[in-house]
Formats: sequence, structure tokens, C-alpha cells
Amino acid sequence: MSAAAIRVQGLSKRFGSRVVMNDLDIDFAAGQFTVVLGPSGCGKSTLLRSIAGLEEADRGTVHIGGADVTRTPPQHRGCAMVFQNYALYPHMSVSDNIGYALKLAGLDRKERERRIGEAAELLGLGALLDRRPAQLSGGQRQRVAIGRAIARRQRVLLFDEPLSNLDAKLRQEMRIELRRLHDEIGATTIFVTHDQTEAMTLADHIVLLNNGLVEQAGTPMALYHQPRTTFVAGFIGTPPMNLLTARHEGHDIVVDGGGCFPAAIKANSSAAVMIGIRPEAIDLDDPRGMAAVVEAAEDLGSHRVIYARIGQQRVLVTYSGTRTYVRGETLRLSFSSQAICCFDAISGERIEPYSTRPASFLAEGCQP
Amino acid sequence: MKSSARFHGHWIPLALGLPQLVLIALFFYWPTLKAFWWSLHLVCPFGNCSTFVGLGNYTRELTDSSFYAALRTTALFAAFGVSLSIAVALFLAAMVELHRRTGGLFRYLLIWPYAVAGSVLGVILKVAASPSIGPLGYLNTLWPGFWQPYLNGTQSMLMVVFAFAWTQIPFNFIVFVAALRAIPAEYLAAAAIDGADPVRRFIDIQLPMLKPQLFFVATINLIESFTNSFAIVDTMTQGGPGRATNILAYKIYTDGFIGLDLSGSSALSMMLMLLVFAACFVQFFVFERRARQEG
Ligand SMILES: Nc1ncnc2c1ncn2[C@@H]1O[C@H](COP(=O)(O)OP(=O)(O)OP(=O)(O)O)[C@@H](O)[C@H]1O
Ligand SMILES: [Mg+2]
Repeated sequence: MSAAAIRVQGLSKRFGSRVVMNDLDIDFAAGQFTVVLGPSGCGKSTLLRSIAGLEEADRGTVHIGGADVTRTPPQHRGCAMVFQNYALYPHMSVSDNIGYALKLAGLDRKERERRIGEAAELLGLGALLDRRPAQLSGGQRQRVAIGRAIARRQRVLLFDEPLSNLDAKLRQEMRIELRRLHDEIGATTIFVTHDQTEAMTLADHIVLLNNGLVEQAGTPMALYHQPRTTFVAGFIGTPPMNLLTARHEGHDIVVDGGGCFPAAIKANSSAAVMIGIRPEAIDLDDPRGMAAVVEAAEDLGSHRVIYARIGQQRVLVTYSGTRTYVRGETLRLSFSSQAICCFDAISGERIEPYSTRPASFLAEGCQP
Repeated sequence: MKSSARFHGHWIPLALGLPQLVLIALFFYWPTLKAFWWSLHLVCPFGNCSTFVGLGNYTRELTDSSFYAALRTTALFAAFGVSLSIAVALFLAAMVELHRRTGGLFRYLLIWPYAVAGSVLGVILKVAASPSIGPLGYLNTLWPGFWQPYLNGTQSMLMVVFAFAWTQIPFNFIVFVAALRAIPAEYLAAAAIDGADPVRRFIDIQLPMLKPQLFFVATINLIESFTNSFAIVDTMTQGGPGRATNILAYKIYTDGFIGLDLSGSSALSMMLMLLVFAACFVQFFVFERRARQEG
């Protein structure tokens, strides 16, 4: 079995007047682990079902391994899939659920039992093999659904939020297992989720969808460090990037509510910009920094998340030191200009910096 | 199930149920009791005198070879009639379900025959099966003497079985279509992903999930084949040729009203009723319970 590249071209789908996929062009490289990320209802499942052949797109084509499968029924596309709602066969035992596809594929009994045993061991289902799906918990069902998909060793693996019902510990273990499994099988994997931690940890490549459009596609680090739009900036990262409204004045960027720093971008027509800064890139007590008032602090053990306010704008700062901050206290925030992303306030698109000047710090009152 | 309305006292519910109860009592319980009473007596041909004979009528019937012949015919008729009704209805329902988009129209077209009255149907089928004027009569112009449902016992059985199936298929079809609709599409999607073509999906996914409806429909059809088959046999073959289509329900009628053996035919009715009860019992206490445990 060799992995197959998947290419989606001009895929469009509407339900009534609601456009769910709007002329999507996406390439899923062979053997790669691609995570399709996006908020609830943005069309992730619809995209996945179109690739699997379960949903007929209004327009566009799907190619798997170079072959046009747009009109191929799902049973001939060679995809394995984990459904968002599991879709386990209620009248079959767990082992029959996992073994059904193997039986259809014509594997003999011994080979089938070996594969079922393997999947069961991997997913910790050993004791449940004779049960019916109705006798399982949500998390157990989800694991059976994963087992059913991976036991087949297909060239394409489609996962629709397969970890959503697991507890935090199990989810983390499963993440690592799925990644290990992917590296072992080498199938082309498309993994749908709205959990950006899963996306960051699992993916070779992330496709971020919003409103039926690709908002940005790239490596996790590219999405993290160079978000193309404010939507991406606000979606990736826990907590996500701070977005502050600011103005472009002369050679400076002036943050609403206080503080300014030398601009490294060309002036845009509107002069209204958004600056994005990661919570962990902010320094809390730089004497030259801008004033911010602490509103609340969450202690997560390893680090703290501090909710502060610059004028009317909310800023989140993560801080791993030991000092505690209390409500009402004034912080002095500063950050390296290299850590900043600038966005057009109207279109929300990122403005590329024309220079990367070395660390010039934010200071209050840098106006001429 | 919880009742949605509560009445205090017994009078209102009793009064509301009374018309129905009176009708049932008049046309079901009373004749049944009467038949039971007759089955224990030797009754004069017009029912105006009687002597108690205990189970005598039953032993008389149970030692009569014509009883067993009728029982065999009934079993044959029921087996073929019920299987045909279920198989055809299931096939039609599966086809309609397979093409959900265009299936809607055919669903209505196939339900329609259900609204045709039994006697109208009898006449239509009688003409259709007629060896001289019906479409099947055409077979006789190809092979003279091939289609003779009123002379050939096998063919006459075929004819009544077909007619019976015709009366049952619309009902079965409605039940199957509704049940197939109720199966969540994800199961079929999952099976398609697992590599199953539509036929395999039907056998492995849809059919097992139809089990409760299959048992239910089989029971209803079986009971119909014991009882309502009378009208079909009466209009089409009158039990003939010979006794080829003389099912129990028809024998009860001929023994009682033509042979004027009211006691014997009452004993036969009681036994037929036992068969119906047995079928109901199996449906409710075996299949229903199993279906509930599995579901
Ligand atoms: N069969 C359908 N008929 C009408 N609308 C539909 C249908 N299927 C999906 N939709 C709509 O299409 C949109 C996208 O649905 P989809 O299931 O792809 O979202 P999703 O990104 O997977 O969301 P989630 O993360 O909540 O699973 C939703 O707004 C949904 O309401
Ligand atoms: Mg979804």
C-alpha cells in the first residue's frame, strides 16, 4: 500500500442558501498528517464527507492518488473513516464492528482476528470485544470507531473529531498513539477538529477553514507565528493572540489606550491597524512599558494567565514566574517589535513588515 | 407508555368505551361463545336442538383425514403466501429506499393498491387470471392448454397465493418503507466506507435492523392467511379444483353452511382460533421481547 495524495479542486456545496464550501482548493500531500481546523459549523465534516464520497458536492472535483473519484461511490474510494457520531453498527459486537470491513475485503478468519486483536490492544478494548455498542460509554465507542478505521490499513484515513469524547488524559495518550500509528502505516491522514491543541500537536500541515473558505494553510509553526488574518491569530494558541486596535501615525504605531512603538510596516490607506501579540511574548514589568491594570489572574500551576486592561482593551499575558498579581495592580507591558504581527483593521489581513529592526521596545510616549 | 389524560372513577372511561365494547361483544365475543358452545354439542342442521357431547366434535374432526388435508393446504397456502408477500414488499421497499430522491413518487404509487377494496381486487384478479380472456390466457395461445387454474390444482394454488400476496403487499410495503426510513443514514454511510455495495448494505445492515418489523408483518400476514383468505378462495376457486385450495377457513364455511354440520365446523373454528392465538402469542412474547432486548 502506498499513500495517495488527495486533491480537492473548486469544491462547492450549499445547503439551501447556506454556502458550506465555497470553491475550495486544497492539496493533501501523500503520507502527510493534515489537520483540518475550524470553528463549529464551518464545513469541516462536509469537506471530509465529500472526500469520502458520502456527500455530493455541487461543483468541483476530488482526486485520490491521481485518479478522479468525484463520481466514484464511497465503497470504491479506499478511504477509512471515523465518524463524528461514531456510527457503530448497533446489531454487531465490537469485534464484528471492527472486523466487518476486513470480512468484506476478503481476509480470512485468522488474519481478521489478528488485526482485530491488534486494534483492540492498541486502543485498550480487549475486555469489550463481545459487547454491543449500546453497552459502551461514549469514549469507548469512540475508540471502537477508531479501531474500525485503523484495522483496515487503508491508504487514506479520515478522522472526524475522533477524540472529542475522551477525557483529557486519554485524549493526550490517543494523540500520541494516533501520531505513532500514522507514522507506522504511512497513510494520508486527514484529521478534522476544532481543538487547536490537537491541530498543533498532531499536524504536519494545518488547513484552517472559516465560512467555507481556506483561511490559511501551512505548518503549525507558520500558522502560529505568521497568521495570515486576525481570524487565524485569534484561533490558534491557548490563550490566543492578543489583538489590539491601533493607529499608524507617521513612523509609529500608537496603541489605543496607551503606548506606541516604531512601525515596521508601510502605511496603509486607512491608518487603522490591529496589532497581534502572543500572551507569552509580553514582558510584565519593563519600567519603560505601557500601563495595564490587572483584572483577574488564573493560576494553572505551571504558569499564570493574567487578564489585564490597556485603556478599554483586554490583554492576556502568560507568566511563568512565581510572583502573584492581584486585581487592580498596574503592570508595565512591553514586547519586542519582532514578536508583533500587524493586521489591516478593516480587511483583517496581515501587513508584511518591510524591515525587521532589532528589538526596539515599546515605550510610552514615543511620539515626536 | 404513560396515559396522557387521567379520569377519576370508572364511569366516564366505561361510557366512552361502551359503543366499541358493545360492537365487539355483539360481533365477536357473542359469536365466539356461541361457536364454543356449539362445538361441545351436537346441533341439528338449523341450530334448533342440541345434545351435549363434550369433546366429541373435536375428536371426530381430529380423526378425519379431510381435516388434515385442509390443514396441509392451509400450511402450504400460508407458507407461500406469507413468503411471497414479504419478499415482494421488501424488494419494493428496498428499491424505493435506494433511490430516495425519485423514490417518493413510487412510494405513493405502491401504497395506492392498499386503498382498493378486497372484492374489487377479487374481480380484477379473477379476470387477470382467467384462462380465456385474461392476460395470462395469452399463455394458452402460445402453448395450448398450459394455463388452466380451474383444472390444475398447482396452478389454482399459485393463483390464490398470488392473489393473497397482492392483498398483503401494500401493507407490508408501508411498514418496511417506514422502518427503512427510520434507519439512520450514518450506518449505511459507515458500511459504504467499509466497502459494502448497496446489496451487501441491505443484507448486513438494513435487514438485521428490520427484524422487529419482519416478525410483526409475518405474524399479521399469517393471521390473515388463516382468516381473511376466505374471501379470495370463495371468489376465485371455491376450494377447488378437487380440494386443492380448500384451506381451513373455507372448509369451515362449506362444512357449516353447505354440509350443515354446525357442530363440526364450530369445532374447526375453535381450532383455527387457537392457531391465530398461538401466532399472536409467539409474536408478542417471543419476538417482541427478543427485539426489545437486542434493541
Ligand atoms: N444535510 C444538511 N442539510 C442542511 N444543512 C446542513 C446539512 N449538513 C450540514 N449542514 C450545515 O452545513 C454547515 C457545515 O456543517 P458541517 O457538519 O460540515 O460543520 P463542521 O465544521 O463539521 O462543524 P462541527 O465542528 O460542529 O462538527 C452547518 O452550518 C450545518 O448546519
Ligand atoms: Mg463536524
